[in-house]
Amino acid sequence: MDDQHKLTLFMGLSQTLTGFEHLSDGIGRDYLERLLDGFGEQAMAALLTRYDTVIAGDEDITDAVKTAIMEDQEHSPLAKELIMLWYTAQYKDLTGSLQQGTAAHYYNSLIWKAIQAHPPGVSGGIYGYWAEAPEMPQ
Amino acid sequence: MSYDVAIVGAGIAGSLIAYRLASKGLKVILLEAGHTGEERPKMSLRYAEAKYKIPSSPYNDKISYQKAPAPTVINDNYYDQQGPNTFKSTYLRRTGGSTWHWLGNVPRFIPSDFKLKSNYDVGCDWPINYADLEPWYCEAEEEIGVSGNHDEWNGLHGGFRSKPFPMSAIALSYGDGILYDTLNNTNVGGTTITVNSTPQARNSVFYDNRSPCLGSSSCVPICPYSAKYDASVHVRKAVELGAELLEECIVTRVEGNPSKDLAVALHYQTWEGTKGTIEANHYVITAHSIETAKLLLMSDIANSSDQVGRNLMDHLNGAAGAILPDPVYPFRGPPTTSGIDSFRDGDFRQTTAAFRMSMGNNAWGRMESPDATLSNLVRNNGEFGKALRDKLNYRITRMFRISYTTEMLPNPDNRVTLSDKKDATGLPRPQLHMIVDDYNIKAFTRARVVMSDLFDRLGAVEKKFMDDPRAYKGAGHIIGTCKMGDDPTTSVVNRECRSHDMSNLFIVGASVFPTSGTANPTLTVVALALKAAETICKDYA
Repeated sequence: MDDQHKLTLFMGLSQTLTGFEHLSDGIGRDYLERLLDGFGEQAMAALLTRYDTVIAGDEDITDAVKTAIMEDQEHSPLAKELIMLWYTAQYKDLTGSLQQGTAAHYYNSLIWKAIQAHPPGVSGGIYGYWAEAPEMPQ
Repeated sequence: MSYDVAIVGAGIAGSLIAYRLASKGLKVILLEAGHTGEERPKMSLRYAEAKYKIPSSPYNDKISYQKAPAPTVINDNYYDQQGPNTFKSTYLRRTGGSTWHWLGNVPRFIPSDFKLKSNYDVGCDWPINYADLEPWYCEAEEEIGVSGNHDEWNGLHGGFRSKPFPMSAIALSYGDGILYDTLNNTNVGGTTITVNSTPQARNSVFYDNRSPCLGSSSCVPICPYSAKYDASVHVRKAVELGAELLEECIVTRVEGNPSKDLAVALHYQTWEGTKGTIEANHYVITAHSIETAKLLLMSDIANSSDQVGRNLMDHLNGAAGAILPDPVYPFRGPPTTSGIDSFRDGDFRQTTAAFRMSMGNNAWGRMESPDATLSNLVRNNGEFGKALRDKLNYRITRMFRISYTTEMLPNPDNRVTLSDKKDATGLPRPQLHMIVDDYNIKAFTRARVVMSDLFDRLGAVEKKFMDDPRAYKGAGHIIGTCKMGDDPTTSVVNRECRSHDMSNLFIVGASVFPTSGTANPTLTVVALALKAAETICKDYA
């Protein structure tokens, strides 16, 4: 599997697992590397290959990913940390220790988007924006 | 004399006094154990990079903790705690002091807080009353820039306001609207409650060359835009007017004359280890309650009353959370914009502590962080994709929290003394003795009942309380240790914050409060500091 294909699969898998369609390629590249660091080449290659198989099949993607990845003993630990990483910019590696990211990772953490807020430390808008109900982001 | 006034501690009290005195042409030196640290954007970056977003995270320059050791929430390497109960509040030792990470809430004390003994036969009375301090509260609000609603607060618990707030109240959060509609003017256990906007040292407009609040929601620990006031504002103003700032400089002794009725010098050691002396006409100690007591005890001065270090108080903090039927959209805007002040006074204070309540805009705080909610959904339940997004959103946008802070009564046995253990600079660590008694425990219980009632009225579908009814956190409000009073045998400073023993020594800060009240102490500190600055100026008239 060449690097570009790896990244493409990683981004596709990330979209499916996070539930967010618009993910940054730059952050994705960083996160792929971080997870390779934390879990190793083999585990990632296996997960991406499994995902590749799932999207080539006929089954509904959500159901297929659920069975083939999230409920699979081999793949689910890494898949779960992938989700945690996109959402919080942090993940737990194989030893269970929490891995911290850069400021850029933090500013892109999806949990805040998911709850229609913003990462604390950057403004969410102009003065008084918090008085109105927020929009639902894409 | 080299200087007219030497001030120990460049926090909010010290920097305001330095500014006021320098503006009158006095020759001022401001000494600070800590340093200025990095530029604000760099500190904001440190916060973004921090693994744990704790109050000290932007300020996590390790050298500071070695050279100017201070307590942290993570370990107890600085305080030497003798118990029986744990003292849980901390402070920063740096230029600008703890205002770097304060939340910025600035309610005033109420009249009863000054007359606890006369009104309720507990604690003691201040030698001054609310009316004496009221003009200074107005000056304080103008000096640091406070936003608030005059009509809501004028007369609340008898606290009249002679002037409007400098800025109108910070925009209430979307969630506040629901609270006002449902809870305002309801009767809870015999008390009619009102929901009030919280007065804040946070700009609602451009003020004093600083941006209005842009809702970064990171007030604790840092405002990236300086919309939240911090004392670096007045350090800068003081220096611009000619005050000298000497940082990285720990004062180790205040030297008195042989009869100990005048202070004659300050002895200090720098981070580099060099030693020096400062001489001045007046000396002002504004090193926050624990360091101030520690310095006076090390110096063996100003303590004929034997009250230095005694009557240490904190505001004890607790919270409860609910899941409401409709979203309140937390994590947008300041962490709290409204509160319930209805339990801050009443006859119950004869037996039970008063408390102030804050309505949180930050979900369940530490009771269940967004990270914890997410981790449960993902790691435990295997949720992913749109279903994960929906469930995460559904829960967290409906999370609402109420926190309360209770007063503590002054107890001479709750105190700071000098430990035999030394800190990294070779100075004695502060030894703390603290007991949390029934006066407080009963308030925790009462607050829990009130919160449960409020949640029910809001239609909560889930409620979460702390497991241990005796549990508490520290609000970061360190009060007492240098009690103010008219009687030199039972107090450390007089009503002007002048030492009873030494006529040229002033002690200013929350250290002089005879009672703790339930308001965040800082505005009262500022009022006392401005008043003390005027007193010192009069000595030169």
